[in-house]
Amino acid sequence: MHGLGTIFCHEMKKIGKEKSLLLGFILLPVISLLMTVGVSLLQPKGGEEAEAQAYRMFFAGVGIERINIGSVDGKDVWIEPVEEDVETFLKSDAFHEYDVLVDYSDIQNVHIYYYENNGISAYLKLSAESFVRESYSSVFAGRLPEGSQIRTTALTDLKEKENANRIIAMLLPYMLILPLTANIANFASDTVAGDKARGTFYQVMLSPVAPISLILGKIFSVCAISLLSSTLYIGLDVLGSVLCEKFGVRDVFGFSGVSVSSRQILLIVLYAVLLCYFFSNLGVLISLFCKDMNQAQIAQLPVTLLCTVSALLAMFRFGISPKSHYLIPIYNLCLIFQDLLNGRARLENMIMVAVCLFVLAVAVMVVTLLSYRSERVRT
Amino acid sequence: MNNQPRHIRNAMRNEWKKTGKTPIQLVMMLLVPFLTTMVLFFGLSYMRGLGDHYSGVVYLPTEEEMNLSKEVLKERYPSFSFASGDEEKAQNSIRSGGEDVAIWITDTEIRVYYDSSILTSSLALKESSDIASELSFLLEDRATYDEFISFLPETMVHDLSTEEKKLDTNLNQICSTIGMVLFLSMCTNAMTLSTGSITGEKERQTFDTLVLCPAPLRKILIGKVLVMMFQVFLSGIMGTLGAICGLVFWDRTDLRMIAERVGSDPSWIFILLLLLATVSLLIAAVFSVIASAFPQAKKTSLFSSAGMILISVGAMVPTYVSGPVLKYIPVANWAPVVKAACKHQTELVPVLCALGMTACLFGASMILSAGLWERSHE
Amino acid sequence: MITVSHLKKTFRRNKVEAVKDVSMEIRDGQIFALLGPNGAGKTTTMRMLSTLLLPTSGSICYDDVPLSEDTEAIRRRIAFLTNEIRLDGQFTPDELAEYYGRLYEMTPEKIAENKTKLFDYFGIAEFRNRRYETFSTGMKQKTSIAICLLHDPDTIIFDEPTNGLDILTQNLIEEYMLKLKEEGKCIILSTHILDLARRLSDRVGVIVDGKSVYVGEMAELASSQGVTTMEEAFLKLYKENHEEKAIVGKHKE
Repeated sequence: MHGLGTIFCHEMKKIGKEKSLLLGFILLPVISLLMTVGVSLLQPKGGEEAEAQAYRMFFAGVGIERINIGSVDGKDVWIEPVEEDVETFLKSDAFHEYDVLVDYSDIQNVHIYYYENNGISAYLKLSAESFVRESYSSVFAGRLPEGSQIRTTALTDLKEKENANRIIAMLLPYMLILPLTANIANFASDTVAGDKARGTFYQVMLSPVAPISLILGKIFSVCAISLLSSTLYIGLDVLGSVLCEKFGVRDVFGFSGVSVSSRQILLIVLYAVLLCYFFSNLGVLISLFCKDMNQAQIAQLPVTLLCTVSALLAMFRFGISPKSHYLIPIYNLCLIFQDLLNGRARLENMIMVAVCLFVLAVAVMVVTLLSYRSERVRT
Repeated sequence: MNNQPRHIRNAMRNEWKKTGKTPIQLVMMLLVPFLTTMVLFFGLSYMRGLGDHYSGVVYLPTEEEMNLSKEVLKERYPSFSFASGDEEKAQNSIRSGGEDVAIWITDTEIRVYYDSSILTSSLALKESSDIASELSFLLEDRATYDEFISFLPETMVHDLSTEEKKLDTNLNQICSTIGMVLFLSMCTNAMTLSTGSITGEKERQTFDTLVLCPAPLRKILIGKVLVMMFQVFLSGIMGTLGAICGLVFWDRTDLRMIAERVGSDPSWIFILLLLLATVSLLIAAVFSVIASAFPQAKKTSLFSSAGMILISVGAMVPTYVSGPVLKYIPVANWAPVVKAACKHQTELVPVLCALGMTACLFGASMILSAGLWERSHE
Repeated sequence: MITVSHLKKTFRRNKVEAVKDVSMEIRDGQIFALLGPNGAGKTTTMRMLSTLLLPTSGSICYDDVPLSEDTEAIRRRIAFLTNEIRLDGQFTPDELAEYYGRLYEMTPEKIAENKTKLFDYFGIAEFRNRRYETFSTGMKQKTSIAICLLHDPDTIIFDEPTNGLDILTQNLIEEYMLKLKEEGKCIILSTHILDLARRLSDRVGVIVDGKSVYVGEMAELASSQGVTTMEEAFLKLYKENHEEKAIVGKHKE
């Protein structure tokens, strides 16, 4: 492995000598951070329901008192009786899109009216269905002979604290992956294809340094830069959270209250290293086959786009993902990242992701070393 | 006087030829945006299918009860698994993130555990309360359970939402996400094009040849930027086509609805082209300034990445902010205007205003980038 | 001593046969000039000699050791200087010497010693702390040569070394080549400037359309072809061996 350190140091020095490169390199994580903060300051707007004072579950054909049964998204949910005809009531202004109506008029055929397109209404519809069922269970239970032991149902919420991280947890992976892939694409293209175009690659190829040292030296320098960049982003974010907590301000950075075990920290560090290595190696591999930096950048675009699309899709994730999702590269990392922020990361999933990344990193390294023999690389 | 416009045309012709001779650039311009938005659509429709996906577990005290419950309930509640275990196991399965809901049964009570701080499928809660009520009779004895099931009334559920309302919800989700990815692919194209043709001239040292030409540098630059803009516009069209194909392949109901709505009046195509033109102009303006400010491709790319993030995230603004002003802001107007176009409610004035503003910005950026391009030559 | 026999190179990518059959022998303490018209396969041959390209068939032996056997050991002994080689513009000659010296596993003392010697000779010493990118063409070329020769190679391959340089720098480089020759090094010089070859080289090889058509003493080139001048001999060799259609689709060097 002779020469690896020399090449690595040389590449790092090369970047260090460019002031504007360093500025741009710091600029990317800072812009992403500002975006994250901006997004968490602006809560997603609701549609019509944003103006609603409360949500209501109407009951027709049954004597019922007006009663509060809890809240959804910080707004009260009320049960209210309907005296008038169901058909007319549904058409009246009193029935909103986010409400739901349960018609008990025909006891053998209960009707539930709701709006599928409205998230709140769809949610209340499920509650109404449960409600109907429960009412029948209790009626049925009352008819059972004395001495029957019918168990009661109790709903227990195990939430430990209000989760303020949900929105940021959705967005953070995207904000991390996009600048990371963009950054790596730039540096990898420059360090290999750029060197080729400038003619500085040949002199190193002529030296007695083993191909593996030459390639790894370049990959490691790109990897180090991208690691620094992502650490800067996450570090600033965590620092922001800590400061917010200290001064008692609302946390707009999303990390407050996140607790990770030492094992998880180790795995996170492993992810960071493997991910940066994987992207750097992929970037270098693609650049090896390109004659100049521009071509290398163009060739790397699909990688950047695909990664951002998978990070974007992680934003639409709902509840717990199936195990198989933790095997989809990049997407699985976003899932784990969200899990960590939500305090729900499972060790086995984390290990699965690490193994997946490791396999990818090794595979891409083998392909790179094999490709280095190719004529296209040498000419 | 007559000769002057020819310089721009000449520069444009040369740029087109250059792109034509770079197959990889053509692929990136035409195929990649198309595939990206299509993949996004596939992902989105897959994720939507997962909306009702959840996993639950029922912990029963004895093996016997477990087998009975499994036999009777597994078919009706496929998302639930049955196991024997205690309260601690049930709570841990929630806290460790293994399950969305866990049910634990004692002699007197059926307890449903969940965690409201995590976005969980509401179906999970409904079905767990259903399964709990069924279990309470089933564990009593089988005959009681069968009687209970027959006692339950027929519940008819009526969805009152109109097709248009459903379309509205779908469009809300689709428009800003597609916009984000579409603009991202347009920006990446603009980045490589501008680094290649504007910064690249300096790096390849072909800039000196241009300086020696009698054609003014700014005209050559305008020619280059116009071609870049048109290519970005093309990639935007391909991306939009990809999104439409995505609709065809993976979301037929949505397509039918959208097609029915918009098919009768193809004016939406015009609106879409106007929007894409606005974005292309803005992207060309931003990226030409960045590209002409630096003599090295790596610096241009680095700063272009920042522009790329800003523009693509700009498409997400309508998710967080609403108001009539949005329709006048380039990039941010994409989601509200596309949504309105699909519903035949387009107002042309805001779209044209946004285009006009962007055109002014483009003009200013041309002056700035011409200055920067000539300056760094010295 | 380098022995090249029946060297052949076909580029897989575009199926171009850049080198068809080249055989020659290059002896220590001599300057060997490789002559040929543009596109004859000189650069491809040089690249194969310098280990940058692998031959499709045929062999290259450095002192009877086949090049394919121990490429790294051979790389330590050779230097390849071409117009295509550039150095990183951000660095000063001092830093570059340090970097390349370490890649060749030289001790810091050895680097300092060789650096001083070469920098003094080529007149770079006073610019040693200035960035490479700020240099003039001649200075850049001189720095490149100094860096290439830093590890004290015993075989030096020069590909058009004096292209685009002024007469002073040309002279300096030519003198240095002669100095290297006196030191017993093996020098290969590829050029299409016949005058340069005549002045410097002891032996000569002529390549036409990827084939070596003459390998022998410089002094005997003209007489062997039955003409009086080197130019006439070169033209005669070219006309006799050049196939018209070979030019079509020729690999661009």
